[in-house]
Amino acid sequence: MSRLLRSAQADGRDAAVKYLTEYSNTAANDVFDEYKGLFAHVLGKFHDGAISRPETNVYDASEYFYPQWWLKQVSERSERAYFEDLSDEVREKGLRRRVVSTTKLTHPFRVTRSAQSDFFTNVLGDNGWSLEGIKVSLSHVFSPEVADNISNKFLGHGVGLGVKSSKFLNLDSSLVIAFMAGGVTVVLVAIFVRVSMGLRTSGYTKISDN
Amino acid sequence: MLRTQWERSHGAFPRAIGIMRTSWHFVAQLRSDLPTEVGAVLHYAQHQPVTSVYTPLYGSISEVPAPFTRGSLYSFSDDSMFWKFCSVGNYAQLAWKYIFPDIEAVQMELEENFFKERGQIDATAKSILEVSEGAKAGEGKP
Repeated sequence: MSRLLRSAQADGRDAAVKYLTEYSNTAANDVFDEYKGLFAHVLGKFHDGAISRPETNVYDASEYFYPQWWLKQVSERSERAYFEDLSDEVREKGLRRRVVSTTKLTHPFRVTRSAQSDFFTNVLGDNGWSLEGIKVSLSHVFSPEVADNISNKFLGHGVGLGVKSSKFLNLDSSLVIAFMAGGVTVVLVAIFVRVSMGLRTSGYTKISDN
Repeated sequence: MLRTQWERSHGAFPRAIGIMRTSWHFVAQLRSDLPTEVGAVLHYAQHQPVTSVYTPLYGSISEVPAPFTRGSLYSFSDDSMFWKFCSVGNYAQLAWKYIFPDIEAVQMELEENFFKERGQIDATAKSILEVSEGAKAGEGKP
């Protein structure tokens, strides 16, 4: 300070500006260094589903994620909000038949997945083969005409079955549907190959039993 | 609307009232009872308010502290203040309930220290100015 005061006498206003610039710079660098250390600290303490407690040499996995009751509440609330974006008919069906998800909730990120599978389970699953529900969910991805076309002509039974089996297997509906879509593709390719081979070989494979 | 975008705006994504997409924010403190050079302090921070620290920057400074001047929103850089706040803030989203208290402790300590030393820094800067003014006033006298 006395050094600063001496330089102030020499430099006038510039010295005060220099002093405040240096102070602000030190403050910013302190924050920078603290946060550098802080990130290392939180990464070291909270990782891989457990809390490290170096003071007691314990790697504690007993309590890191949120309690189930809280996750369920958040899940329900976001699900209800989601239904508000849907048509009245589908929303009513979904809310009337809504049951609390049986999906195991252990992680905050699961909340949204759960809300999603609840949508499939409650709106589509409980309605079984309801094409209306499928159309609505498809219309989130495709244009209404395309969604209509797919659900009416192609996916109706497949998605219904997918939702049912996902419920039975306790898996995410979208996974099962994707798996089934893959299966359908394989079957179609197999039919195509069979047909084209049949066409090619039909000329000389007919052998009489007699 | 995209699912993630929808979830973010309907509460499924845990977040504070101050949004995480904030680039910078400040509280300006303007005091008329102090000289111009000392009177204005910008309590400035980057990234989301809840996990960042307000750093005092005096209005008269000739240079902005380097960490505040670096970095891009589109790629991480290790020497940027924004990315220091961003790393910590985003990591806290993993399990806010458990991680945030540790962040808050550091945040409070830093900010409280800044507030505590404010008076002393003001007084020092003011005395430097007064000395220089006194010296100037003395120049004209025989």
